[in-house]
Amino acid sequence: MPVKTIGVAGTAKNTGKTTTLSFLLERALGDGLLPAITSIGYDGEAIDNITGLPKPRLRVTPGVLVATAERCLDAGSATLHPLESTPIETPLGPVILARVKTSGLVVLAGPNKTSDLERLLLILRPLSPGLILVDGALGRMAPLQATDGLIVAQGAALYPDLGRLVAHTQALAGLFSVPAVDLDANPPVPRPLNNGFLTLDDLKRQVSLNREMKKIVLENSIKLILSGPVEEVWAYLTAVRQQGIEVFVRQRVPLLAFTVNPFYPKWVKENRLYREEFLPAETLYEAIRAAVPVPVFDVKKDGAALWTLVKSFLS
Amino acid sequence: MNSATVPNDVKKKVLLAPIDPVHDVGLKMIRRALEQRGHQAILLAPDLPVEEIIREIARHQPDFVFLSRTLGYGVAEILARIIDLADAAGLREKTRFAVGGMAIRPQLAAELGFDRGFGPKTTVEEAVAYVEGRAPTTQDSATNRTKSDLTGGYSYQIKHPVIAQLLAELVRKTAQWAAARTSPGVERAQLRQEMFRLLRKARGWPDQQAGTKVPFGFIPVWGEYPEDKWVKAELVELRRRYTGLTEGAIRSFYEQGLLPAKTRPLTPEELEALNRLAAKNRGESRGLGRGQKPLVFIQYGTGCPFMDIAHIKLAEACGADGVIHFDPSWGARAEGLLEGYLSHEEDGSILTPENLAQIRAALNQGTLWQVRAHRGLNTAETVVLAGELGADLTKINIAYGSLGGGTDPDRLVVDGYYAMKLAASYGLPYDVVTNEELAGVPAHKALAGLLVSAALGISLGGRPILQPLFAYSPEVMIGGQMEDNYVDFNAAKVLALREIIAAPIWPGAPVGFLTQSEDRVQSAVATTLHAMLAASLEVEAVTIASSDEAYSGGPISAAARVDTLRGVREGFRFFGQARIQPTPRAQEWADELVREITEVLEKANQAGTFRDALYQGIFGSQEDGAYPGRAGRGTIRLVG
Repeated sequence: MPVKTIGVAGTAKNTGKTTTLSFLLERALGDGLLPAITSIGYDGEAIDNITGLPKPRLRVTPGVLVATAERCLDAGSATLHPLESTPIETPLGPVILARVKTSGLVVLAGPNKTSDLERLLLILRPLSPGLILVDGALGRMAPLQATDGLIVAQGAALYPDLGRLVAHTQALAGLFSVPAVDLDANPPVPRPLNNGFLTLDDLKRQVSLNREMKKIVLENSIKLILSGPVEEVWAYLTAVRQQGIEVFVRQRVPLLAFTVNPFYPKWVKENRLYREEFLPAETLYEAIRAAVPVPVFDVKKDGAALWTLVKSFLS
Repeated sequence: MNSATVPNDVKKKVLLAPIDPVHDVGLKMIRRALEQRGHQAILLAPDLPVEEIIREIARHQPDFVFLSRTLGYGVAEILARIIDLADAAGLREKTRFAVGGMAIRPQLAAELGFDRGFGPKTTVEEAVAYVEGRAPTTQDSATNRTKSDLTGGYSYQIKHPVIAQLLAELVRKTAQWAAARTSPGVERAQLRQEMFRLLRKARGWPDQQAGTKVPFGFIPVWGEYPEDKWVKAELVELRRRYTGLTEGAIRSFYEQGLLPAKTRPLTPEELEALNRLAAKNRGESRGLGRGQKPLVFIQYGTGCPFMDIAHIKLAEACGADGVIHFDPSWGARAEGLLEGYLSHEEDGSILTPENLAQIRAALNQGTLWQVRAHRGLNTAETVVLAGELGADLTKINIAYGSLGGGTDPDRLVVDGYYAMKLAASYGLPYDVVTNEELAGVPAHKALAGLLVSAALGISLGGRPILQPLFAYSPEVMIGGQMEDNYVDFNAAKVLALREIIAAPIWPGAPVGFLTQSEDRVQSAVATTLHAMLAASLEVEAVTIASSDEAYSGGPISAAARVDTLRGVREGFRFFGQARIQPTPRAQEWADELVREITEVLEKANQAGTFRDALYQGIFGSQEDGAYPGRAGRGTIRLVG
């Protein structure tokens, strides 16, 4: 059974990616699965690079495979035993594959572009970890197109406004739900400019130029999401569907679930500091659950259910 | 930075995108440098929308994209989006993305998904080096650093005819006198040399010029002897004879294994840790940005081997060119040197073969190392240690040692003479300093004494370096020469010496002596300015103190060490090839000094030999504050 890779993407910074990843890691370890973990950014620091607020740390136990930059190997409290050096470069040195020898915290900085993550997964899979977890960074998504499934961490840090947040989540879910078509039978339509990447503006222009177009075939879910502001892309697709045009992607990246984090950092002008703030959690969850057909979890409260979902995905 | 054009196969295309609303000076500087090197550099307009930047990247297909932006609200998101779009558009295969700005650290660059981050201290050279796929070079690049010979290119010709004659006469008489005599110090030096020779032969160690990293592991008194019975017997005999020439606490060490108060041997664990420390930190030095001249030396000697190595490493990292060993002051009055890996509870690091070998092992390849023979009863033997253990320089000081260092003039002339012979045989240059000025001896007398020592050394085939003081000495406190500025009188010393002899000059020791205070900033500035004066005068080297050396009463802090090295670096940057201009007073004083030096040398000749003149106070009288020392009095004897 090939090892599955799950990416935890965030829609912005501080939406709970690492908390979610940490949770999945803990559950996997509890179930006797030895995961491999990496990040497309930089995780595990005690204090946020930008806001200065405390951040969750990643705790690992012996046997876990860690792919992190050379300069991060000794940065945490866990003892890591390097297995091999990869040719993947990061600003913190080459990505090293290591096995955890003694429990503790790790700092992850892994491959930060798609081709590098693909390369790493090729190296990781033969080592048969129970699963591979890839932590996202900020709202970055592109490299996660290499994963088998995504959990998206949504949070008030994106918009500290309930209405907007719900609309965004809805649009995002919608974009992920665009169905796939047979790869071979369906070249991308309209023709993308660079490696299957079409911006929303390009798409609009092409569609308006070609009145005959009955079918839009885009490259993959992630590229679709990145083509423009999420709400605008979704609104456009909805509009063209209403005009009778079908929309497909050649490759879907499955959206497994949303997690929602009511936290957001509030800028306090007088102190020139960020402070922790929260949207009303219950209301937030209810609103989002009502708006999207995808499972929505509060990692802190519905953890068990999320893990059940993930396990069924893995099998 | 080297502006030569790179070969065609190294030429790159770089797209520079300032995300700030205003143009980025940094990117413009990098563009200029890249173009000078023959690369194609495309600078986009500032503050373009993300999609347009992506379009430009897709259009130009550059090898590198440099984004620059001061971090602020929402900026991280913009940068991350550019990376995301570039990745999605397949633009990350060919193109490397670098981000630069005030708040950029490697961790942030990693979080944003860049290939490389450049922080606020990035130089243009670093950015260009990244594009060219090589390590950045600096003017004083570590890979280019070789140890320079301070004495190279000097003829040692004495230009002043009268002084030349006076010195020649004095040297002749003194050499005749000294060569006929010996002392326990000289004999111990000879025995120590024998011991080294034996051990080298027995253990197959290479000649000292090759420089061994392995400590010699000198035989402790009660420890093991080399396997060869013949060598063992020889060594036992040598040490027996050596012991007979020692006294007091040193003798107790050799006879009973007792160590003097406040010293202790390192434990085996400590020794192992010390070896690891020395090996671990062995790296390459960076200079102070001045090229080769003047070389900047610092002084170390905490008494603790770990602290010494830490200070040395710190100084090297901050750009010091050389380090000078300070031994405990009691060493000058002790007949004999100790052996073993010894730590000292107070100031000064004990001179033992093992201690010195350990220090040597810790030094960076390009760092110059001076082991001072200096002023006491172990002058000659210390030169042996310096020579055998790979020091680059030593210091031999007859006038100061006799008049301010507490050593009997007879003894120091004999030992100093022999030490100079040894130094010449080891090819070891040495400086001669005028610390007696600090006791109150006026510069003209001290410089005269310096010239005699130097001339003596030259006659023996040595390569002395003249070390005038840049200090707020008692002479100027009373005479007022430094009422207006610290420049003229110090410069006068250098000018005077240059008029007299073509020899290398190395102001010390350290410069700015007695101009420092408890204020670290003031002390750092004072040191820096004195060092800049030295640089203006185009001397070969300069010795600087830390900013707390004058007031610490002992231990020197690492921060204070950094203070003055940073200060000197700044000073070099500020001055470049520009100069400090003394007033005409400097030349007036220089002329006066030359006249007065001549008078002193005349009186010295009339007195007889160097030692006669020293005793008679010609090179520094009791009224000046100089007293012929007593240590070693009555210990010299005629040879044969």
